Parts: sequence; C-alpha cells; structure tokens
Amino acid sequence: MKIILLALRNLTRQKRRSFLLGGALAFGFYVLTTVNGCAGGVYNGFEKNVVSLATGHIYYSRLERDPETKKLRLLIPGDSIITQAIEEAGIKPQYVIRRTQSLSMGTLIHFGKSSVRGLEGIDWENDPYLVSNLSLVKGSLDGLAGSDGAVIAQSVAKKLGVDIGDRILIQATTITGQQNVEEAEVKAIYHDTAGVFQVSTFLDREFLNRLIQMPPGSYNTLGIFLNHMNQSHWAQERLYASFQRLAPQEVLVPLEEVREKGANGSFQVIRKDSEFVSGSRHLISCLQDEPFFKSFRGIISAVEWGSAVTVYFLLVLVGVGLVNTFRLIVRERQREIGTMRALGMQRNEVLGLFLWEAVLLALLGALLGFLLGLLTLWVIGLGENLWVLPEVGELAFFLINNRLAWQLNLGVMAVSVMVLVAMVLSSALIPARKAAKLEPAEALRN
Amino acid sequence: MKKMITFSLMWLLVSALFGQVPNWDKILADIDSQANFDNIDFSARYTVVSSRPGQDNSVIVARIFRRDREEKMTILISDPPAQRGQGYLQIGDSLWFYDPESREFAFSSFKESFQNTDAQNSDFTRSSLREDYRVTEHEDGKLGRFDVWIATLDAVNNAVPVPRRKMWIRKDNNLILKVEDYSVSRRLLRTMLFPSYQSVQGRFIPTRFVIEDALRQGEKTQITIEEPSIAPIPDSVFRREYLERVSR
Repeated sequence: MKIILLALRNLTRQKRRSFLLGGALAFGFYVLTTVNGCAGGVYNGFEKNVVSLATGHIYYSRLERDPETKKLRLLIPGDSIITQAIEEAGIKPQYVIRRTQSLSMGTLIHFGKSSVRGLEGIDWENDPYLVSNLSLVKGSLDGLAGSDGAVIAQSVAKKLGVDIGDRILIQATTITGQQNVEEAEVKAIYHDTAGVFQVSTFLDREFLNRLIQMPPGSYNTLGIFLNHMNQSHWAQERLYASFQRLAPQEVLVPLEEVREKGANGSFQVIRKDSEFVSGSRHLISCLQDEPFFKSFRGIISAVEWGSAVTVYFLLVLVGVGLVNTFRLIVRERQREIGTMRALGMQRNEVLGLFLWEAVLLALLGALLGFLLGLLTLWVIGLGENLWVLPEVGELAFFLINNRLAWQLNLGVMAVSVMVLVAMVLSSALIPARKAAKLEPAEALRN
Repeated sequence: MKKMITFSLMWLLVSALFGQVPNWDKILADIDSQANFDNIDFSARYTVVSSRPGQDNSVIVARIFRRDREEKMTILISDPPAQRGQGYLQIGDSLWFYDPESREFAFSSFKESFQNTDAQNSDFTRSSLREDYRVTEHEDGKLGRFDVWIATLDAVNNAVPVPRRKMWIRKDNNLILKVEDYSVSRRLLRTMLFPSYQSVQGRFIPTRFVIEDALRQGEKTQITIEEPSIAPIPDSVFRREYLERVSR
C-alpha cells in the first residue's frame, strides 16, 4: 500500500510529464470509448427499428398448400394453439401483434410510375410498437384503422412522385394467384432504410385482406415483442417446445433449420419441398436468426473490435515512446533511487514502485479518456435537442426518436483497459528493472 | 291446314329465337381447339416488343416449342444477347425458369409476367377457356366491320390468373378480336387486340397481338408470331438438359 501511495505521489511531483503521458493514453482511450459507444448506439437503433418494422423479436407463421392451385400461402385460421403455447412457455411478452403479410410483392402505381414493394397489413389499433416507432417524414398515422390509407417509404414516394393525399393503385396477387388491384390514399410517408433492406408499404389489415382475398378478420403472421432482444433465443426454444407439446400432430420446421436459414430461407425450403403437397407447416422464427441481422451484428462487432485493435496498435506506438520516457525518468531519478536504497528500500520495492507508477498512469489515463468519451457520447446522445438537425434522413433508421442511444460494450472496454495496462507495464518493465539493479553508492555518485 | 301453318310459324319463331342464343360451351371449345395443337407439335418464333414511355423499346426474341397433348412447352430466348440462353420449361402444371448464368432452374408461375412485359407466361401456353371459364353475360356487337359476340367470362377455378375476361368474338368463325382482363375488384388490367391471324394446319393463331396495360398508361407490348411450324419436335427439347446444353 505504501508503495502505491508513493507511486501516486511521484506521479503528481512531475505534473507536466504525467499530464502529457497520461493525456496521450487518455486520448487513445477516449477514441476507443466514443467509437465503441457510437457503434453500440447504431446497433441499438437498428435493432429497435428493425424489430418494429419486422413483426417482433419472434414470429410465428403457418404455411399451407391451396388444395386447388397447389400454391403456397400464409394463413393463420385460428391462433388458439400458439396463444396457449405462449402462455404455457412462460414468456410474458411485451406485445403480441397480428399482421397480414403478402407472400408476393405488390406493385404501387401512380400515373405510369411504379414501385414493387412488400405489403403489410397492420391492425393499427393493436400494433403499438409500429405506431410508436415508425419515424414519419410527413403525414400521420391517425385514422388509418379501417381506411384505405397507405403508409409508404420516402424513397417510394419520391419514385412515384406522390405526396400526402395522393391516390395510388396497389396491384397484388391474391392468395389463390389471381391479379387484383385496389386504390389507396397516401396518408403518411416514413424514413426508409435506403437500401439497407427492402421496406414495406403498410396498409390497414382488412384493406390488405380484401386486396389479397384473405378472409375478413384473418391474418398470417403473429409477432411477439419481448422486453429485450437477448431473451429471443430462450423464448423461441420455450415456445417451440410448448407448441410441440400442445400440438404434436402439427409439423414444425426444425429449430436448427430456422436458426440457420432465417424465416425467408425456411420459406424457400418449404416451397421447394416436393413432399409438401397438402396440410400445413408451422414456423417459429427469431429476428436474430435473419441473415441481414446476423450480418449487421457482425459488422457492428467488427467495428467495435476493429476500432479497439486500431487503438491498440496506436498504443503500441505510444508504448515505444513510453520505453524511452521511462528510461529517461529512471536516469533522472538515479539519485533518488540511490537515496531510497540507502535508506533500506529493497530492489523489489524499487521495481514495484516504478511499475505501480506505470500502472497508475495507465489507469488514470484510461479513466480520463473514458470520462471524456462518456461526455462526448452524452452530448451526441442529446440528438436534436442540441443539434440543429432538420433532417436526419437515412440516419433515422439507426436512431431512436432521432437520438443516438449509445451503448458501451463493456467486454471490449474491460479488455482494452487490460491491454493498456499491459502495454504500459511492458514499456516500463526494463527501465524499472534497471532502476532496481542500481547499487546505492553508484546511484548516489551519478 | 290452319293448325299446320300456325304450328310451322311458331316453330320458325322459336327456332329464330333460340338460334340467336350461342352455344357457349361449343364456342369456347372451338376457340380452344383453334389455339391448341393437341395432336401435333408446334413451334414458332415470337418477337416481344415492350414499349414504356420515356424508355427505349425492349425487344425479346424467343423460340417457343409446344406439345399440348403432353402439356409441355419450352421457351428459349435468343435475343437480346444479355438474355440469350434464358428459358422456360413447362411440364404439366409446373413451370421453371432457367438462368444460364447461375445454371439453375427456379420455380416460376404461369401467372407471372413474361420477362417484365405486359404478357404473362400463360399467354404462351395452350388455351383452356372451356375448362376454366363460364360465360356469365353476352351481347351482340360490332368491332370494326365484324359482327361479334361480346362475352363476359368468369373463372370457375383459381388456376387462372385473371378472374374475369371480356371477349369480342367473331360470330362467323369464333376468332377472338379483343380481350379485356379484369382484376378480382373488377378493375381493367389490360386489353389485348388481335388484328390478324394466320392459318396453321387448319388452326388459326394470331400473326401478332398487342397488349395494352390499363394501369400504367402508355405501356404496351406487341407480340409477333413468325415461322410457325408443325414439324415434329424431338423429345429432348422438353427436358432440362436441352436448355442447359443450348445455353452453353
């Protein structure tokens, strides 16, 4: 303990040098903290917005073959089994929503211009997640229930040359394969992902049911919103087991297959399954298993670790300079070392003193960098409260209510502290050992 | 005598009245038989020209081989170069699209559009009006100089992509001159015009026909059918290996 206090006191004696050295270390840690927090924030925003545009953390679908046309269709004629399974699984979801999704893409047409998009039927009165998380450019979601209103992406509105109040045609294929067309009114335009992934056009569920000739009141996707994404796989496994127990005669797509291929991939496998000529197939998928989600998670992880590794390399360069600096420190303090040794300090205590000075320098630098990074993240996180950002534009998809919900990866931060301390220690080791080997008389003479 | 005259007059009147009501089952069967080659093979070169406002015309040339008695069809695209080697293979109710770049066959549908034109894949296969539709309304009319039936046909099953069609059919020879396709919601989707026909082995196939998109103003597709042939087609043409081999 005495050594640590002595080391701390020594650091404060050479304020300028300590400040410069510590400042360099702090800067590296500041960059690491900021990048890490921003990457985490981008991921948080992406996750939240994807979940709201998707049908939840977990979604249940049922596919069947039309007996007449042999065409595959999504339809949930009754949800008693899955509802009971959710209850028995003990999942306690935040929301359960029921949507209609058109299996094939629809075409939006306005005076000769057209755009092909996915179509989703929303029960606007019972889908609070989408309603509260859709970032609108123009228009409003009020009064959409039971209407012919359409909520389209900004890129689609631009392509079609439409604005709020314009009427568009929506051409789609019914669940039995017939062509159908209905007219809709553009009621709202939302920020889209501009190519991150295909965006849907949102319609009232009954309107879409009418367009694709699904029975009134029906739907084909049941979505479960959990309290946190981390619960997804656990909840999926429990739901899967619960469903199998309640309906052993029903065919569930194997969990491993769903985890590997995601929902769309599993659909394609079912579509190509020549043995599936009648009956139904059930699918319990998880957003985390979707390829685009895994890819994005991979990108964020790469950014987090990549930035950390980059900072480590920078620190190594700093470390080279630190070696010379510690050598200089030892040379300058030879007389002091001689005095301490003459007063009875042992070699290992001298070694320990210099090493603790290095460790404390690293820790204080990391702490300073961390605090500055936190401050920067807090400022960034104020978002439009502080910035003048008239249009967040495509960035909206990575924000939550137009703000960056930053989050640090504590694992990366912890490893980074250890790397920093290790690097500084290794820089100080040789000079410290040299200092420890000094004979008192020789040190005093010099 | 008076009774005989009265009876004859009544018989003539009844004949005249009932003679005007067409036998739709027979007419639709006749239309199908004229368009189908049930006992022989058929092939022809189809040129599909698609026009969109503000864009250059796109031209696709394909050779179509049909064996209607076995419900088989092969379409091989020869032009433009970017699409050369692409094709479709029908066997029964299944239709596959072949992409020579990926060398893969993918399930397609008769209800899908043909190469992003206003034509549908089903426009190139055998006609099955009698099987898939029934006439729910009809009236007399005229189209140009021809006396026609204007018949409304409603689908009787879900196998066809168009639930309602309105047809202008020549009274003298049951050739179709014009077709309007309607959606489930009874909105006009497209109009097809058949200005001329050619005789092939006693059947009549259009020399060309024009499809006008009713939803996208100004868009239309013209299909010209040339070099019709009833020469026997090798069985190998209706196999996947044929498309794979030819595209190399």
